[in-house]
Amino acid sequence: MNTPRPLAPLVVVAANTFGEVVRQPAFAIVLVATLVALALTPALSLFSLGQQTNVLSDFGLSTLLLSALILTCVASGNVVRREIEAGTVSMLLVKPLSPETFLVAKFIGVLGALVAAVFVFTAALLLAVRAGSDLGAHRHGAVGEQIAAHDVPVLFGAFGFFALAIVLAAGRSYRRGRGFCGALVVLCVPAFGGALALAALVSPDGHVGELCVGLDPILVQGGVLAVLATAVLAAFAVTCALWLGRGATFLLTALLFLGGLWVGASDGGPPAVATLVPDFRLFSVGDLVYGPDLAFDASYLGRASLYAAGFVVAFLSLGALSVRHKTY
Amino acid sequence: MSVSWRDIFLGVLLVVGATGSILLRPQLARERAALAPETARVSGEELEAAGVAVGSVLGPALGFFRPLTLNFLWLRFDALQKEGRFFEAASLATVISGLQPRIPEVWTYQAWNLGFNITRALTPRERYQWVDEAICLLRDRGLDENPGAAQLYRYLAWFFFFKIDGITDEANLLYKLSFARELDDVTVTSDGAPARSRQDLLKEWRLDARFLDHVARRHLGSLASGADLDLRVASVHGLYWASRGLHRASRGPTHPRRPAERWERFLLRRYVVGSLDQLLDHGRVVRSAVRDTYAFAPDLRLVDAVQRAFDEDMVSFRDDETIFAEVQTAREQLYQRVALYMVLENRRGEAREWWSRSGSATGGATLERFLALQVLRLEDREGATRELALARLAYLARGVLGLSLAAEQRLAEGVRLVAHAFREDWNADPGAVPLPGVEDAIGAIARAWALRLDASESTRALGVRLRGLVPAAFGVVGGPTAGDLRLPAPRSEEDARGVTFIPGLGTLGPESEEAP
Repeated sequence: MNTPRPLAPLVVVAANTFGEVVRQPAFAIVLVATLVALALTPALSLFSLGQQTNVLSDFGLSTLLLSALILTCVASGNVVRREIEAGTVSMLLVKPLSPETFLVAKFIGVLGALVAAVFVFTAALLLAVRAGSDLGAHRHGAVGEQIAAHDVPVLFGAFGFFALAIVLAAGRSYRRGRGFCGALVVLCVPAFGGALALAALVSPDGHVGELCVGLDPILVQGGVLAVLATAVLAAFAVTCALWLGRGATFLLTALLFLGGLWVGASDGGPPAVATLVPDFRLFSVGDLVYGPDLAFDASYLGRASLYAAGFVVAFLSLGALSVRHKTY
Repeated sequence: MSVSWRDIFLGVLLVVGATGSILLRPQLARERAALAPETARVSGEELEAAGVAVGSVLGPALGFFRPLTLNFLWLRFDALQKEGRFFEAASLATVISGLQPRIPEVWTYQAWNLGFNITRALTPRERYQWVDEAICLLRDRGLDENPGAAQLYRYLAWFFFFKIDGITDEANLLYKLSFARELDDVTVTSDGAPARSRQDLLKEWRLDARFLDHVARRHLGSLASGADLDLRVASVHGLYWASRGLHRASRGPTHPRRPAERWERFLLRRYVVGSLDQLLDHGRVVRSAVRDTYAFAPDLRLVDAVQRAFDEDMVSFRDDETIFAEVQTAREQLYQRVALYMVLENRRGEAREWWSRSGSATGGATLERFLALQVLRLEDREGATRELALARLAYLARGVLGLSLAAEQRLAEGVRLVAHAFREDWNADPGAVPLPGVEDAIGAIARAWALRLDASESTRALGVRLRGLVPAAFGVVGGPTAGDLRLPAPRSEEDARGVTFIPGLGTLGPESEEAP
């Protein structure tokens, strides 16, 4: 006789949600557009005034954060609203799911897809900054030429593996007649992981054994913080989507993001607002990369995780409370 | 609606989660600032500046559109500069610095535009506010965003000691006067106390009292304090900010992210020496007894500090022939200049001593000829016309009277000595049309001044004092007038161009027969 597994429904719904999110064409489009943007950043940073590496890192981190926000809105709004609009949520909530489990499963599924996307962005950013950094500029002269001409490990890794991911996703889509976007998103994770590993093992000059040359750990910290920011935004967006349409959810999530940046920048504001709105500047280190002393700080990440977890729990609890008393 | 235990549990989770995060925020904000202390803001108060606040929010939120936006703004800025539309460029630069607040070069570029490009398009009298604007931008906003950026300190020091206190800008005299007026405690409250205390001034100009004490002790001796540095002289601020930048830049080893720091330290050190040199030249402020204006005389307390700085430089650059030769020349010129300053302070014996140390004496040059050429501001007598010599004589005569009225008797006597030396040197040339006597010139100008001082109730007492200073000029038989002696009156535009500013003699000229 099979032993009942209490977490099984949660895992199933979360996995389905993950698949549902990554299969959305909008998700894949934003992902690819962000990768293109990150690849173009070194060439577009014309006025770095001698601080090419810092400017690239700053621009890249803000691109990453904005894309994560857009993906959060796209993913959360769609997956929850679709269940509500199609009426499937009422069936799900009868058995075997409790409303809270439904909400948490949806959140985990969305978050999983967002983590995958942010991982891809962070890897791409690390590669872009290495290729377009001062390191490259000092070696080879004009910025913009180095990417195409010189940093072979990055060039081969990023473009080669990405091209391979496209081919594999297209092949799968050809065999099954669907699923290109989802496959591409999922395949991007190992592709950029592989590209990053290659760049970590091979220096820009082609020397094997010089580990992680030109790969700035601060960007990893920025990526992890972006994941935390998306977790807070996703929890908020999922909760909003229980009650509001896609457009309203998008708008409110974007406003929360901007409000959080404002709260952080204004160093105070009205006390109630300052404390109730998540401070999104705590999840952004783009403006700090110009400092010579910035270093990877695990304890900061730990505390930022707790800060984000607090808001995630609060938003999801609010959502669960509301969904328990809502009739679909 | 019934409330179940599960609802209560969720409610507790909501409260615990939110409260935990709220309580964690202040600590996390502090830790974030500690991640990069050199870029963290000093305080949040300056964020009222809209550009920065908007930039702080829009910066991360613009994402990929930020480089595109910035490219557009920079290209537009460049186009406006080329078209000479500096004011529009300055407005645009505010937006740019808001979007790139952590790049020091953005602030220096913008400040340069305000202080050098825009001012070039204006009349001398309109310029000072833009220089002031550039200083505020660097000090109040740029440094707030980048407290560790050595180049911002350097540019700030440069604006003070070179732009305001230097002599390259034709409006430099106006800058000096405006600056001194802005920092003078002339406004008093009803009970006679200054309207602004020194603490207020330090706060307003963002000077740290303890660091100012440190700067004063370093250069004026262990017994000195910040109060010994006259804040009305821009080079004091230049010295402060260059020292402060040097202090910040010297904190740690050069970081790979900032390879230019070593160069910055070198330049900041040069600016410290430059500021000291300017202060030696004209760091002593004499407030006019007649009107809201000043003379800037040499500050001999700094002779040792400047000499020490040159000596240190000679040791530092002993391996660099070019710089070593330059420093050596500067040190020899220092001896000559100190000789002049000693004459101005009526310390003739010491002046001779310094002159002999300069090495010029061994080449046959005389101190008197040197004084004469300094007055003429010429390399040699060849280019000097009698009109110029008369203008200089009038300038010195006005200096004697103005300094006497300001109760700076010793300095007044020094200027009188210089005037006599100048006249004698001029008249010694058999081909030159002789200059009138110094005392005649002083008397002529004193009589012209007295007429004006007597005309107003508020200055009549000064007129009486003036008569007491030069009684011979007000005898029964009047001496020659300024017109008789062909002494030219200074024109206001000449003041503006700084033509009456003679390095080493300071701005003695504001007192004129037109002034009262």
